[in-house]
Amino acid sequence: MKDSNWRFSGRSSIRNRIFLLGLVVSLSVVLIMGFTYTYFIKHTIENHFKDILISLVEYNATSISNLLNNAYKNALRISNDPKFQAVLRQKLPDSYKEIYSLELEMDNQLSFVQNYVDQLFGFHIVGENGMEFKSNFSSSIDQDWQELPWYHQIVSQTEPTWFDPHDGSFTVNTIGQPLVTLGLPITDKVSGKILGVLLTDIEVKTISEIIRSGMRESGHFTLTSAHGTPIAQSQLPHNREESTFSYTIQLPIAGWELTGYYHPSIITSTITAVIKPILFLMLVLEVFVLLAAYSIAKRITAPLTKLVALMQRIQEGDFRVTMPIVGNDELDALASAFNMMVSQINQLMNSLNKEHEKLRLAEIRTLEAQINPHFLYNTLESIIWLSRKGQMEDVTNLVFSLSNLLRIGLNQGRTMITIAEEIEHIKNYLLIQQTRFPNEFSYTVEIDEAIMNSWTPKLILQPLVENAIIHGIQPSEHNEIITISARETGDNIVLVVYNTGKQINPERLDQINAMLDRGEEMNGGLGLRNVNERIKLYLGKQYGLTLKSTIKGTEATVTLPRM
Amino acid sequence: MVMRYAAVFLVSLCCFLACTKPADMHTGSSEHSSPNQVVIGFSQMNHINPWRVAETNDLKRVAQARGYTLLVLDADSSIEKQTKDVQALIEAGADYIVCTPYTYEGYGEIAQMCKDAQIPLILLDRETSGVPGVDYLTFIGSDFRAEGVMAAEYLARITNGKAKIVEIHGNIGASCTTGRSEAFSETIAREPEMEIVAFGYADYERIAGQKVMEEIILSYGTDFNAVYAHNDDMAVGAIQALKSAGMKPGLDVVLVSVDGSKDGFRSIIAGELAASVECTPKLGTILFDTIESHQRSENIPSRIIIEDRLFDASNAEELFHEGF
Repeated sequence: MKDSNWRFSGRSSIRNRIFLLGLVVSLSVVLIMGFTYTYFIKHTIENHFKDILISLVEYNATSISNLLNNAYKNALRISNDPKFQAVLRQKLPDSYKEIYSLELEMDNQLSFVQNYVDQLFGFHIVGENGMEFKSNFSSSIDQDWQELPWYHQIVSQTEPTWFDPHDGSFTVNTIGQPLVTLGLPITDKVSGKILGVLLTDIEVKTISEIIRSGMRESGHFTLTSAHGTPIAQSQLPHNREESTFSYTIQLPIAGWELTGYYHPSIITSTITAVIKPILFLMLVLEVFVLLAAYSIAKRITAPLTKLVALMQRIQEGDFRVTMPIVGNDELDALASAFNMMVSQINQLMNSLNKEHEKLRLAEIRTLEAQINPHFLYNTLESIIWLSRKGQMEDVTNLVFSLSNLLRIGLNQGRTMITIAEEIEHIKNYLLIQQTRFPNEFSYTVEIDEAIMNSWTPKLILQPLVENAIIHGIQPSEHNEIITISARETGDNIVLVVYNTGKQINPERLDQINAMLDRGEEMNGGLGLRNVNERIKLYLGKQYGLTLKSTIKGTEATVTLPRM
Repeated sequence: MVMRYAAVFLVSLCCFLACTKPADMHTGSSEHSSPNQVVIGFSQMNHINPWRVAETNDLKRVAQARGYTLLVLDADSSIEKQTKDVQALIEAGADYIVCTPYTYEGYGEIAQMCKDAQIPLILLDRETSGVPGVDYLTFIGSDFRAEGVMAAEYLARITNGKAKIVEIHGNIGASCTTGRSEAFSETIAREPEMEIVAFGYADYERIAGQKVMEEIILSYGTDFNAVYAHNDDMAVGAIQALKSAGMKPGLDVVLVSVDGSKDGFRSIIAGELAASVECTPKLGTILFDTIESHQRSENIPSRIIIEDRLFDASNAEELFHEGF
C-alpha cells in the first residue's frame, strides 16, 4: 500500500511538474511580452506624438511668423512709399472736398495692397497732418487719436510695436472681434520727422485658425505675446488632464512664443486600444499552452502509469505482458525496449527451466544407467556362479567391487566427484565386467597424479566403458584392450577411453559426433548422449565428448575444465 | 437669472465648439445688470460691409443701454448656418429672435422653429416670404421700393432724363435687392431716354463691387454715363474700378447709391458719388421700442417702415456725422 502510494504521488508529481512548468513558462512569456510590448509601444507612440507636436509647433510657428512677416514687410513698404510720404508731408487741404478726394485715392492705394496680402484685417494710416487712410470698408472712429496711448507708444520708438490682442480696432468700427495690431511710425524720408503711424490689424481668429490644427485630443497650443499675454489658444482637450510634455518656440518676429502641450491620455487610450486585443490574444494563447501542457503531461504520464502497472504484473511473475506501441516517439521506443526486455527475461526463464529439467532428467538417467537392472542381474549371476564354483576369493572381490561401485555412484546424492573417485569407480566396474567376461579383454589405467584431486561430474567413464565393451569388444573374437587415461592439457583435463576391437562404421561415427556436438537426441547411444549432455549442462558448451574410430580401435575423449 | 447666465454660457460654449469662429457670438450686455431679464437672440447674416457692422453695434448699444441680454451670431451669408444659429439661440433661451434674412425665400424653417418654440420672430432690415404678423411678428426696416424710386428720380433729374445706366445689384434674391431694382426699373421706364445697359451682382461688398464694375467695363465698354449701386460700398468699389479704367466719376459718370455710410458721405463730398439714398442701419432704438411694446401686449403693426432721406452734395457736409 505504502509502495503504491509513493508511486501514485510520483506519477502525479511528474504530470503536475510538467503542467506547472508549462504554466510558469508560458505565463512568464505572456507577462514579459505583454509588459515589454506595452512599454515599447507606449514609448514609441509617445515619442512619435512628441515628434509630431514638435514639428507642429515648428510648422505653426513658421506659419504665424510668415503671416507676421508678411504684414510687417507690407507695412514697411507702405510707410516708405513715396506717394504716402508726399501726401502725409503736405498740409491738410482747406476743403473737405479736397481732403476726402485725397483720402479716397489713398484708401484705394491701401486697399490695392491689402487685396494682395491674405489674412490681414486691414491697414490704417493716421497722419500728423490730420489725414486718415484705410484699406477696407470699415468706417473710421471719430476720435482725437493723437491723445491716445497707442499713438504715443508707436511714435516713441523706431522699432515696430506689436500690440497685445484688443477687442476691436483702435481706429475703425468693428463688431468688437479681437485683433492684434502692428504699429509702425512713418518717418519723413526728407526731414526725419514723424509723419504719422501705420496700423496693421490682424484678426486673432486668423491666428487661432493656424494653431487650431493638429493635435486634437492629444495636445494644445498657446500663443503668448512678448509681454506674456495670451494671444490665442487652440481648443483644450476635453479631459483637461495635465500635459506631460511641452515645447516652446520663440517666434523670430514680435517676440511671441508658441508652446505646444502634449496630453498623454488620448495616447494612453490609443495604446490601450492597440494592446487590448493583443493581450486578449496572448490570454487565448496562454489557455492553449496550458491545454497543450496538460495534454503533453497526460500523454507522457499515461504510458508511464501503464508501464508501472505492467511492472507490477511482472513482479507478480506474469511475463506475458506487452506494452502497446502506438507511435514512433521516445515513449514508444521505451515501450518496445520494455517489451523486448520482458520477452528476453521470459526466454531466459524458459531456457533456465528447460535446462533444469534436462539436468534432472540426466541425473535420473545416470542413476538409471548405474543401477541398470540388467547389469545388476548379470553381476549377481556372476556372484552366484562364482560362489557355486567355490571361488570365494573372486566372490569377495566382486561383491566388494559392486559395493564400491554403488557407494561412489550414489555418493550421497552429490553430482561432482574427484577424478580419483571416478577412476576407482571405473576400476570396480571394469573388475566386475572382467569377471563377467573373462578372457575377452584386459585393461590399463594411466592417470596423471597431478589431477587426481580435480573434479568431474560423476559416472562419466562408466557409460563410455560400457559402450566400448558392448560395441567394441563383445563383437570381437580376440582379446581386446581397454585403456583409460586422464591427463592435463592446458586448463583442461582430458579423459580418454580407448579400446581395440570392432571399428564403428565411419558414417555412423560422423552422425554420432555431429549429434554430440549439437547436443541433440539420437537413437541408441543413450549413455553417450547422457554423458555429453551432463558435461555441457554442468560445465559449459565448449566441453563434452567426441568419438574417434579407426581400424586399430575406438577412442572416446572427454574434455573437462580443470577444477 | 443664474439659469439665464448658464444658458448664455452654454450657447457661447456651443458656438465655440461648433463653429470655427469663436468670435462669432458677442453678448451685448451680459455683464450689465438687467432690469427686464429679456434675452434677445440676434442672427446677423454677415458682417461683410460697414452697414452690417453698424447695425450690430447699434443693437448692442441700445441693448446695453436698456439692460437687455443680446446674443449675436454671424451666419456667414449662409441660410443653413443661420438656421442652426437660430436653433442655438432658441436653445440658449432667447425670448425674441431677431433675424436679418439673407434672401427672401428659404426662411420657412426658421419661422416654424420660432413658432414651435413660441418665440416671437422679428425680421430686421430685410423681409422674407410669408405673412407678416402670422409667420413672423413684424418687419422693421426701410421701404426698398421707395429707395429705388428715389434713386431713379434723382438720376433722371441730374441727367435730364438721358442716361445709359450700369446697375450693380446686391445679392440676388434679397428683398432689398428686389425692391431697389424693381422700383428703379419701373421709374426709369417712364423716361424714354433712360435705360439700364449693364448690370451685375456684388453682394453689397466693396471688393465685389469693384470686380463687377471691372468686368462690365471689359465686356461692355465705357459707353454709359450713370451707375446705380444698391449700396454705398459697392459704389465705392465701382468708383475705384472706374478710376482704374481712366474714367472720372462725378464728371464722366454719375453715381447714385443707397445707404448713407461715412465713405458714401466722403465720396459725395469729394464729388465722386452724386447721391446716396438713406437706408439707416441704426435700427436698435426702434427694434427695442417694438419689443417693449410687445412686452406690454400692445398691438404691433405687421410692418414698421423707416422714412429715408436723400444725401447729396447739398447736405452731405452738414449730415456727415449721421453716416456710419
